[in-house]
Amino acid sequence: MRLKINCDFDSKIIPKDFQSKVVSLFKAGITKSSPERYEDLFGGNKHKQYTFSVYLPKPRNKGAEIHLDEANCIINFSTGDAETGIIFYNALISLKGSKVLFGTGNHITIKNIQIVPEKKIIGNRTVLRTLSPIASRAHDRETFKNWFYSFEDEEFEPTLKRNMLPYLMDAFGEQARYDLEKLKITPISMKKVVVYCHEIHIESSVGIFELEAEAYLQKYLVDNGLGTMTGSGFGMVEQF
Amino acid sequence: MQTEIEVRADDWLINAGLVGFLNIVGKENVRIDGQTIYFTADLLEDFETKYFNFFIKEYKETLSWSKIVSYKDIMERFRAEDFASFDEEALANLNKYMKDVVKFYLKKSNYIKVFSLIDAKANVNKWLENLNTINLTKKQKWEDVKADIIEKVKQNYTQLDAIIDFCASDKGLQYLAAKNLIYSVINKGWSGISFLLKQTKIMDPYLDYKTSFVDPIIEYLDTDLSKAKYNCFSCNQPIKNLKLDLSFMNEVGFDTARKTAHVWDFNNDVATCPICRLIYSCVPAGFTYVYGEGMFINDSYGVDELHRVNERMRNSILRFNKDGINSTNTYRALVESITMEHENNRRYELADIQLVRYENEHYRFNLLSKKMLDIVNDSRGILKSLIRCGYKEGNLNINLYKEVIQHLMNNENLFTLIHKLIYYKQTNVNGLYYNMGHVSGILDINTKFLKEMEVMTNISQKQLWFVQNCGAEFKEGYVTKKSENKISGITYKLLNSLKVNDKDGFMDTLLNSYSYLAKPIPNVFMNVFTNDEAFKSVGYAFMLGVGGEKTKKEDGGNTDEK
Ligand SMILES: [Zn+2]
Repeated sequence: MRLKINCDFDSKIIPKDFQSKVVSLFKAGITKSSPERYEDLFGGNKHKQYTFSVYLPKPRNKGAEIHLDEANCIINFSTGDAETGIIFYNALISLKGSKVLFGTGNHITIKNIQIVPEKKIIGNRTVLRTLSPIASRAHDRETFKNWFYSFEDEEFEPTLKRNMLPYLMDAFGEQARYDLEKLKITPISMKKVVVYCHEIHIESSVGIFELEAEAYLQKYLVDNGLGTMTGSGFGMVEQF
Repeated sequence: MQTEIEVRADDWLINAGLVGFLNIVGKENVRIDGQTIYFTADLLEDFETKYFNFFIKEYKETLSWSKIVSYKDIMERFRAEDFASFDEEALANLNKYMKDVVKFYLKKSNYIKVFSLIDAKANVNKWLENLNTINLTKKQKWEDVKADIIEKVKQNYTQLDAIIDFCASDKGLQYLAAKNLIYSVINKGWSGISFLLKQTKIMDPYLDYKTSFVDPIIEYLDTDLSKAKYNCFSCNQPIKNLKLDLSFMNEVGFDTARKTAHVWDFNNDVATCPICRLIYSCVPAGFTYVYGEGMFINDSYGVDELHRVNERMRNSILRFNKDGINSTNTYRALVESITMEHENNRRYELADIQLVRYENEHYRFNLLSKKMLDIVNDSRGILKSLIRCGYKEGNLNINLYKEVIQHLMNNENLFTLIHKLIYYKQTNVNGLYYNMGHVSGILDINTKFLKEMEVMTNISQKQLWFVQNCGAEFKEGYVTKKSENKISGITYKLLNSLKVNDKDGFMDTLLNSYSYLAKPIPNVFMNVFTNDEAFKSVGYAFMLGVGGEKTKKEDGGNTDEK
């Protein structure tokens, strides 16, 4: 289930940490339309079964701000879970037309929400393109420190698999472990980017790559995002 | 004092026989004590006449015999007025009666066989030969030829008088009705022996019955059984040999001649005493048959109750038959008789009732659980509204009342039926005799059913009505946007998703549609993800709203009520 949310800003200047602001927008909507689901979705640290990306018109980094060519953006949202889809759809439609704080004195206004048709997944190979960067994160349990890998690192793919294992097991059971081991990512045209999010710099990867995996895994990852931190706007991909 | 004969209630087959036996001899003529009845051998005197009399009394109106003799009234009417109102229509009716009733039935070999028993001197064949169809040529004008025709009618009437008097005589009724009943009612219970043996040597079915079933009892009662080696399969009383088995009972699995392996290795041990055999021969009198389908309620609480509940069902069936609604009648009668019993009697809270149906020459069994009875009881109003509702499937007329009850009896939910009904309405199939209100009622029953089965606890009836309303508003949204043409495509997709239980597909379509209307999706849809039944209930409730008749009325007239 894919939503395309067209939004307007009051000004062309938005904060560098805009992903967090989008999450705040979601939270504001859900507080309004389905408050009983808030805890379920944002309380605790569990994996988010959705992902999003933000398309900005010609963004230019200016310190803690980003300057845009036009005062608007498109938020792409995707989930493979129908219930989550409805909650977010209802949340966003409940905010339609109203101004919501977006930081740097700016406000965001949802203009309309469109449903994007999904492509079918055929076979066990697909060429995908990132709509938001893919994060691969190693977590040190002793120091509580995070280490992020880009596709150039040898640890990128194994770490990514470790990130995905718990939630894929959750969704599909033991079979997922076996199929995940066989999953393969082959970069076609990728580059390393550093994203500022939640007050840290995150090394991540964008571009085009080939994903080789069982069709059900492909579908799940295309629907819900690939890698970790999908709920913070990482790992959204689409078929190329 | 004569020693009493004792018969105990046991399985459904002997119980049906017991009820039949009580119907035949009269409940007041036996002693009933809990699960057992007692009677003396003198009750069996002229039992064969009592046997047939019961069937004649119950089924008289349905017999071809009635069709023959009931014409007498018409004849008397025309005679009384000296044929003043006898017209072309009356002539056509007379011709039809002679050809399709009198000649048709009285030329059947079964009837011919008993003519001599009714009146050895009567020459029925000659009377039939003298019946002549009266033809009117196209050129002839009724008024010109009426007098001539009346003369011919009178001649036919003379023959018909003889024929009808012959049939309507006591013996005529006795034998013709018996012959009729043998092949329309009694053979539903058993076959292949006595008067139902094709090669029987005995012309008189009464005598045939007496010889096969009654005489052996008298002989048995006089026999010294102290050294008997065997026991009756049914009552465990001693028997001398294994001659009498249960293979004459239809479709009950004791067909020793054809299916030898049915009762383990010792199928020859399945033999009965003559008393039990007589009781088994009463099975057709225990069932109530309508249109060839039989029903028996096997309430094993006690013989008295067993008899009463079946009698009540029989009376209801006969009453509903007078109302003229046919194929549903047995089910309606069943439901009304057991729900009545249910209300009056708390003991149904303790045990399930077994319902035995005889349909398409097979016995079918259902357990009517307390839960099912509760649902039916709670849904009486809705059920009543379904009595005249139905749809056509090929050449078959499906009645909604019967369909719903059958599903409930089989412990099946009603989703496939609901699906079909909505789908047919949406695609404007011909021959639909219901509206969405009826389907909505069925969904209500289904919700109760699911609750009883404890599969759906998180959706309330109220919420479903709310969802129906959402469906109606959804449709209104499309009407307001002047996009009614899109509704059938959406309905098609939604129904398909419901059918294959595709929640994601359903929600996808819903999301697309609601976003087109720029409206939020009703929150109640969130609850549907917990289980399949909730999903389907909510989904179909929504479809009922979408398919509602509101906008059709605005188009000028409700086309759905017929
Ligand atoms: Zn016996």
